[in-house]
Amino acid sequence: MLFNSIGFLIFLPIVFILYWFVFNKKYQFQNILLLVASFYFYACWDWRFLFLLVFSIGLDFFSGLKIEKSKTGGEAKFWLALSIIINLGFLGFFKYYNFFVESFVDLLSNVGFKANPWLLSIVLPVGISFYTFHGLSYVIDIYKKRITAERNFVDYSVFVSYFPLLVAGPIERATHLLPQIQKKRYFNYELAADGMRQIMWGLFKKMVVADNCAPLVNEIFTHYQTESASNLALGSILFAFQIYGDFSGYSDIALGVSKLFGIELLKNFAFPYFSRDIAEFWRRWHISLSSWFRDYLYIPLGGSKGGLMMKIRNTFIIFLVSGFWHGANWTFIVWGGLNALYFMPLLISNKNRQNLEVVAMGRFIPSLKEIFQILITFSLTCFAWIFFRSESVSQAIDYIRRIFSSTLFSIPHQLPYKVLVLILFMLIIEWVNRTKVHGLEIERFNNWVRRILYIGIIYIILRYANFGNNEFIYFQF
Amino acid sequence: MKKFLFKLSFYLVGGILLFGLLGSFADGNIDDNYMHFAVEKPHNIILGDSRGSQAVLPSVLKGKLHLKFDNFALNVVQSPYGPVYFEALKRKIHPDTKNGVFILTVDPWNLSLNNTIKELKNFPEEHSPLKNMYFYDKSPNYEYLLKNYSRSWFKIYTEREELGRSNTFLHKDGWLEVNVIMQKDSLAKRELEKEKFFGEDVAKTQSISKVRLTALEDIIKFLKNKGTVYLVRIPTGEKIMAIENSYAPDFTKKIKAISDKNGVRYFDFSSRSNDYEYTDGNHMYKESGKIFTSRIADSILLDKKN
Repeated sequence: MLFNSIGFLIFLPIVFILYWFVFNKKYQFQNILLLVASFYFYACWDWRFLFLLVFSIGLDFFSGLKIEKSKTGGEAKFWLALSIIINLGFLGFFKYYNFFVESFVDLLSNVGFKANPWLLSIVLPVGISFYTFHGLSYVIDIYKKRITAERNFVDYSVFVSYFPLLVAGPIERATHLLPQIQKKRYFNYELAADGMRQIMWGLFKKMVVADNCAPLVNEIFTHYQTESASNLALGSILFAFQIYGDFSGYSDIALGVSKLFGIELLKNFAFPYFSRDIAEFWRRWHISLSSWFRDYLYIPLGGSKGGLMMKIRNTFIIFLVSGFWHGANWTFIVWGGLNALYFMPLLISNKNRQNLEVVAMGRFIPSLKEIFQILITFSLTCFAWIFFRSESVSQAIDYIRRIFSSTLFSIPHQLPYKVLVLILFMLIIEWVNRTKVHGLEIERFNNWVRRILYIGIIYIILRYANFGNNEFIYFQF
Repeated sequence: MKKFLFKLSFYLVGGILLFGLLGSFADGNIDDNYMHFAVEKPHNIILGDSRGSQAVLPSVLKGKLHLKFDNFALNVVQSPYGPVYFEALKRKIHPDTKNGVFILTVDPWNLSLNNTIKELKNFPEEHSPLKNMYFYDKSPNYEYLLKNYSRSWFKIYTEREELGRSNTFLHKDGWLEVNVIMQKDSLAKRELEKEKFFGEDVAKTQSISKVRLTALEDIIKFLKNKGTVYLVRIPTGEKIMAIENSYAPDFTKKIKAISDKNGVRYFDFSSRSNDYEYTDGNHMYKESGKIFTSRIADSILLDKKN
């Protein structure tokens, strides 16, 4: 069930009404409702994978208890290792099996051996990368004694399978979400109204921006060999907005929906295309994943404590793993590696934390320097997205090679004016609200301004949205 | 909560009213399928794929047979013979149908399946509106618009029939009127594309499917209880016909066997390629369609006489 589908349009009000009017006597009842609704939501994709989800929940719940009850460090380590191996084993099998087999066969053929790979026709369970990371962070936190093991199976199950975040995040932490699940929720008008605004903005970004960019991007990337260089450059820029609209739009809807139930999820995006350097970009893009890798990979590896070489090594590791997390293709790994390379000058010169504040704070117009920095960062990002979007590394290289030709400075044929205007509209609204949590956090404006904006955005959605139930890109991860 | 629901209701009601208003302008311009789901249930029906949808005109049949027909042929991806089409037909046809006339247009492609597909759930028509629709006779059909119309609803209004028909206009009787340039060069280009499509792509990856043949028989049996069934093979341009004959040389034999087994007539017009004009070598040009439909009607009249 997609957030932008009729099914969800029916599902959400039903759950909302049951939640606040029928199951509102006790929060435990509400949790049972959320669990049933979440399982139903997940089963709408493929009910068979519901068993995998339940198994994963059971495994981590049980492992958490065992780790906590362990009398020795070795015993705790055993249960932690068991949980990690099984969790990553499932993820590896469903997501990476064919990739590893094919890569191994390629390697063998390079040294003169021929092998017939035993490839499987595996369907990737939707959301597996996200709920696996939920579970892993939970057991690791127990092992590290940051939290205590949860005793209530329903509450824990809701933490992992809560439907707004189940299939594409944000990747939550037990320390943040579980306490909210385990207390009485009261309907909060301001929170719910803000949730509706965030849903509306998410739908705009997904259905208007991303879905209108998608056919243009597909066309350019499919026929890149016959496109002019300026068109290829345009294709990479449009993809940058497609993936942003798609994923941040999804996150906005997820956060907004959750607010309707009185639960606040972790922020996943903070206007990343207004970043002045790549370090700032990564503090603002897919924040829940970046912070997950920071806390559960970068810091355990030594973080930035062991000198420059250690920092460089660890930075490369998290970017490469982050790339690999996105999918079983070398394109994602190269994308991760490229971002690590972008990061290096900042890391070496110790300037990776120089842009911590929002750009042009206290001003509406950024300085020329800031504009230049934003454009450079955006260009680097677009360049890296070419690898992310391409079918193979060789295609990406060929695509890039063709960009740097004499037609780069020609005007792209059939400039998509409508799409560019819609992107510009999104950027203006987000620029105005760049200090806020989301692009449509506009409660500070007077009623009439807000109403006009709501009606305007609803009109744009109805006028320009694609209603074809287009899937979200991040569902494949 | 009251305040929240009260304010929300304004936007919801406004949105629903707007959608309702825009949807009410839906007509044969919006796509090639909508009208199939927005007319009353027929007693006499035409089945098949895009060849049938363009070559058989219910208005011509009505003129000759004095029966109101509905052309329920979509295209080879969405309405090949199979379980989905059969179930859709049950929902489409008027439940009280008696003494109806049913024209089932057949060709090798609407009885074929890609060789890699083994399970019903992977059949291409699983994504057809025939699969996801429940209401077949609502006008305006909001179910169709919500489930199968992916463009902006404002386009329903701005591209309505009143302002001019689209190049592919679906009439209320289900006939798909296609208006394309019939100038030699563009015609030759389209023909070449179709020949390549059938000869190099489809013929090499598909074969006649037992499941589809069984479904065709099931449909014949179902309709025989409600009236008279005719199997019709629509001619195509010579080159496409040659591809078909090489792809399925025993096709006529197979269909003849099915018609004999089920006691229905089979009108095979495949040898009359040169009698008609085609928009792409595959689909009959609308003017030829009128002549062709007239011949079907004559054949039916002759059959009834005998």
